[in-house]
Amino acid sequence: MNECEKNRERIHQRLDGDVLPAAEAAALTEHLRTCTPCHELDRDLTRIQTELRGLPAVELPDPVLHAVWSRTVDRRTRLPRLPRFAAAAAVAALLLGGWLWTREPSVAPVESASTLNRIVIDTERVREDPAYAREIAEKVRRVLSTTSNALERTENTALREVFGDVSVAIDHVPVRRRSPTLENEL
Amino acid sequence: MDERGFQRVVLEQGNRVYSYAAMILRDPGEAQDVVQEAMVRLWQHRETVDGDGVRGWLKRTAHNLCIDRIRRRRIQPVPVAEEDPREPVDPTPDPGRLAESEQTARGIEAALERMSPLDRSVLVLREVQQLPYAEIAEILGLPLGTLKARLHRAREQLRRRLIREGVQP
Repeated sequence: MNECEKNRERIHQRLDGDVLPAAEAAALTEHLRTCTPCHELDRDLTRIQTELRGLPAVELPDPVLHAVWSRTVDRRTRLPRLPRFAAAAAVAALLLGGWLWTREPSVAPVESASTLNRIVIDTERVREDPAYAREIAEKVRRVLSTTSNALERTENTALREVFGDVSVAIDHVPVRRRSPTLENEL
Repeated sequence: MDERGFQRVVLEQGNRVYSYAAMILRDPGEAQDVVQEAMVRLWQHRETVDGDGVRGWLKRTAHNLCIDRIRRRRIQPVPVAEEDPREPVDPTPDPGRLAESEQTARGIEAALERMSPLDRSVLVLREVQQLPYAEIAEILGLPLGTLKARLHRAREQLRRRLIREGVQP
């Protein structure tokens, strides 16, 4: 390693925030005093680092935060967690209801909005009483079956607006560490 | 992580994740989508993500989402020519083209855009967001030594690009 290469390493170490041993720091200072290319490298890299650190920060717009809340904590607040079998029953009923609606839209049951107000869920009892859980699941199914298509349309529209067409597959994109092959690609 | 913890993470980390995604993707809309998706995934994994590792988990997820989006664009970044580090550099840029700080910042952003996503990530995470090396290594899945070598190379590459484009570093 020649002197310039050695000192280039030291320049980067200093930019990294490392404190050079006194002898190395002195050698670097002396080298920068006599070597123009290394002096300019040190000057430029220091300026670039300063510029990068001073780049203006951007602020996340409020609508994005609202969207995050509505897809996370708000959703949880609206629908309490049901035991697995009750949830599975509700999903099955939802699918069946949606299928029936698709087949016979003119005879699909229509629940009034007040139905929502009549469903009072005792979450403790849901966990302990299977019959009660099934009863609740059936009530939920009735409401969901009348609204599932509308909800689906709304959600798809929202997803398209937010993510565009490609976003529909987002949930299927696995979160993973970058693989060695990806490093090569990059 | 409970609901309150999740809300705290979103409020504390939202801007940083957004800044990172915006610099990597160079598209505010896409960057906002990435933030939203990363946060939703954090919520879905809130019971398994370790409290101390939330920040790294979130950034790693956002980074992977950014890379997925770059791939889906099917627009290859401008190939990064393996430049000879010994390539002579014009030691005296044209004084008439010396730029003000604002122009330099714009020049840096433009030059960053043309670097490979990984080099851009390394520079943004270290120089802009000033994260510790260990955290960056975890986010990018790189060994520490590789990360440092990559950062040193990326710094010099950015400098050469700026000089070539007439921007005074």
